[in-house]
Amino acid sequence: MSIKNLPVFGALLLTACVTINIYFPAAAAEKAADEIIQDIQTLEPSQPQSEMSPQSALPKWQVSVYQLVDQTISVFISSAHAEANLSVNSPEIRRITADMRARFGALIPFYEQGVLAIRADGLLTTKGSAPLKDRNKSSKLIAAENADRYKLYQAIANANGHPEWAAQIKSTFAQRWISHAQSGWWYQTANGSWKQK
Amino acid sequence: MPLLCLRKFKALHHLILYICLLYTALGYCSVASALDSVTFSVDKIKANDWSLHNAKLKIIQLDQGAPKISLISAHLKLPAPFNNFSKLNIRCQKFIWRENYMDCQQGHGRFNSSDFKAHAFDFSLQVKGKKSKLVIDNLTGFSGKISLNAQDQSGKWQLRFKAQRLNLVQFKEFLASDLFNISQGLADIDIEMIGEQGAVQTILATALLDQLSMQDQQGRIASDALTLKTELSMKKGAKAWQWQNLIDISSGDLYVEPIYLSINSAHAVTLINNGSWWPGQKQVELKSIEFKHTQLLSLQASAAINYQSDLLIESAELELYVPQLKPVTPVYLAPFLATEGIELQGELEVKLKLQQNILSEINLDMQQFTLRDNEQRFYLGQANAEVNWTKQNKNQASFINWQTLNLRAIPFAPGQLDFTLFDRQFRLLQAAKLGVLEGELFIQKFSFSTTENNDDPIVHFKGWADNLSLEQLSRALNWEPLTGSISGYIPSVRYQNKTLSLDGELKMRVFGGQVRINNLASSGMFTNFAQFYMDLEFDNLDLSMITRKFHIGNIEGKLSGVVQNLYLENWQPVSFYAWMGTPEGDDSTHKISQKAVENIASIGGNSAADVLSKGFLSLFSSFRYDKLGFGCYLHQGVCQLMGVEAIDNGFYLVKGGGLPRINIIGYNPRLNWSVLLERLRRITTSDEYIIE
Repeated sequence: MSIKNLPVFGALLLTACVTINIYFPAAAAEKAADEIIQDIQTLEPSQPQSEMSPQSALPKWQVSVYQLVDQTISVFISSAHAEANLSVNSPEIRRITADMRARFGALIPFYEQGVLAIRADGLLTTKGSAPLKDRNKSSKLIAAENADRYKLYQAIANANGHPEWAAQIKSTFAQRWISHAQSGWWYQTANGSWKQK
Repeated sequence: MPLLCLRKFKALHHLILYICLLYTALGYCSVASALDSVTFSVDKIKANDWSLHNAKLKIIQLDQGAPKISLISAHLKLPAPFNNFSKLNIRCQKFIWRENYMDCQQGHGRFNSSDFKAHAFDFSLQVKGKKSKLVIDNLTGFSGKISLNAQDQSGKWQLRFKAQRLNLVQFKEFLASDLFNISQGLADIDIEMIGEQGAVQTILATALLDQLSMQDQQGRIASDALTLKTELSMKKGAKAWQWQNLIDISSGDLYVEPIYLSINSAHAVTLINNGSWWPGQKQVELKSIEFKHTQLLSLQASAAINYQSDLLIESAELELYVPQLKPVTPVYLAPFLATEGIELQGELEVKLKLQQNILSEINLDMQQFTLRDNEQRFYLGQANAEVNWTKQNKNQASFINWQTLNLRAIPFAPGQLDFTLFDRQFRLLQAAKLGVLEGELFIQKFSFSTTENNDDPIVHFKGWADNLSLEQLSRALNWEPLTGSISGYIPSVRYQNKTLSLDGELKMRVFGGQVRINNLASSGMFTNFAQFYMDLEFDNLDLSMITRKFHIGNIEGKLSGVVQNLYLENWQPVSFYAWMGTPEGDDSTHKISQKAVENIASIGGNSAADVLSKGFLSLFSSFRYDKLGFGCYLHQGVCQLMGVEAIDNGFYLVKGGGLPRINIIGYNPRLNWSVLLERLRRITTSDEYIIE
């Protein structure tokens, strides 16, 4: 290769660079959340799921802008986009879901009595007053369940090599927990009000 | 309380006499029948700290020569410490005063307050020299009756407040406090205070709270229909206050996070305590605390507490006695446990000592106790234990012995462990020999210790297993019964990331050969998600013994192999690499029966029954083979199958040799693990294998 051809070769090298942008797989996350929640709530038949359109973690207009910018850049640097699948199969995830599955039966009466409610962020909270004899049990169940939910989101994120996805997974699960709530259960809407299914 | 000075009254008396004289001088006395009373006002009648404001006085019976004075209205201001009652209006049917004397009889009063606006009360006030006495009675407040009796003599005073059937819901609203929310409750209160000048010296109080339903803001303290009686006696000594207190709860529900008590006459709760309090030094000495939950437990304690900066328990001693643990465990122990379903029976005695907020000593004595996990993961029966823990002393011995011990379903013989506990360390005092599965488990050395900042304990272990019965083990674990034994030497164990790992090797003598277990590790053994890891090697197992045991048709020959990286979750294989087959250079007889051929074939699918029964091969009850082998790499629920030798599009599971010979060839290299298990169980049919 002669010296004069080097700039051309450099330009070729430049265009040969590949950037792979892996966006948070929102649709896959919803599907995974549904599977996990159904698995956990096997003791009671879950409610039909409401239709949820796949969502990105970012507003659509932002995604469009980012994609446009990315496409522009890719004139010079070829780019590949990929939406990863979401793996929910790791010993850590199975361990956490095993505990949650074992706990679910104990949560049901508190859901049904209106003692427990699902917050808008998908975590459980005390809404009504539990009978005194059950108060400690309900408090412990809430604390344990919420701790496991946090662990689950992080475990899914870790299993997919993206620990930073935990917050997005939590957000996805929040909608799905509410969607899977059974008739009579209380949940919090996005504006903070409480509703009963 | 100061002596009432009646100088103002004296002046007033003169004034009234002056008015009478004036009337007489003016000749009105002749028409006295028309003027039989006089009313007038006085801005303030003051006697040191006692004072009547805006007093309206009325003189009656002027025409009868013995005039009577009544106080029509006045605003009474009391001296300290009663000056909180600042909105008091009174009137007296009969009002007598003279020098150093004032007497209000048949009086009535009314609190000039929104809280008491509709409620009048009987009132009397008597001031006689250095004595004074104030009585408020029949005051209706908070739907109950309230009375107040105050006496003073030369600065020494006594106050008694009594209230009956006070509605605590209304009272809470009056207090405007958000600390507690009260939904129902009545109170009878009797408080007597004795003091001198502005200082209280004695407090005697009793209170009966009836049907009290309340809870705090966070719901951590709550009651439902609680009946509580309390008595408090406090006396001020030369340097300190001495107190005695009794709290008796006879019925209702009480929740003090995390404990819930359902209280009735058979299970009443009593708390008796007494002690000294040095307000100046900010110190409290709890001389005695006695807590008793009838038929459940009794607790006695003493403590020295300092609250100069943070709360500091300088020293404390506590003794707990539980005659029967069974009813106590769900009430007092289970709320503190992370897991549910622990059942305890037996007798318990515990002594604790604290020094400078730190637990320094525990002595625990349990007699004839039973510990049961309702998930049947653990059972300890007819056990006794004496556990002595100290912060520093390494030489205190402890022991636990039992008649029955089951770990999961594995039973242990009666035994005992002698150990010492101190700080964060546990150490076996002497080697232990535990009978298990008809063999013995020797623990030569065992200790573990933790550090404050590290969850993983440091474990030292040396021991071995000798002749554990595989038959007993398989029966305990509900496996197909096996015969043989397990022995092995475990030089050390490790515990990291909540995983217990055993070094060394366990050897099983089974089916005429040997199985070696290496790299055994487990985590969450007693949780919802038990995990096991191990490597297995087996040498020269007798196929004839194996096939007889599992009723899959007779195969003669030897079998060796490995299972590497075996990982089980809840006793179910999740992943492994396994290979088992005829060992190299095996010179034993290699025969396989028709039934075994059928079964091996049908594991993969094809029913060989027709081929074998209808054809030429039906003449032979068994066939010779050169070698056989089967491998599986299990990953993500799929078994990647291997045979003893590859051929086009398939692999030999059994390769024939000699006459009559038979080959079994598999053509499907991948099989769902659950399908494979199901076929092993039911021997179903498909056509993935062929018989040549």
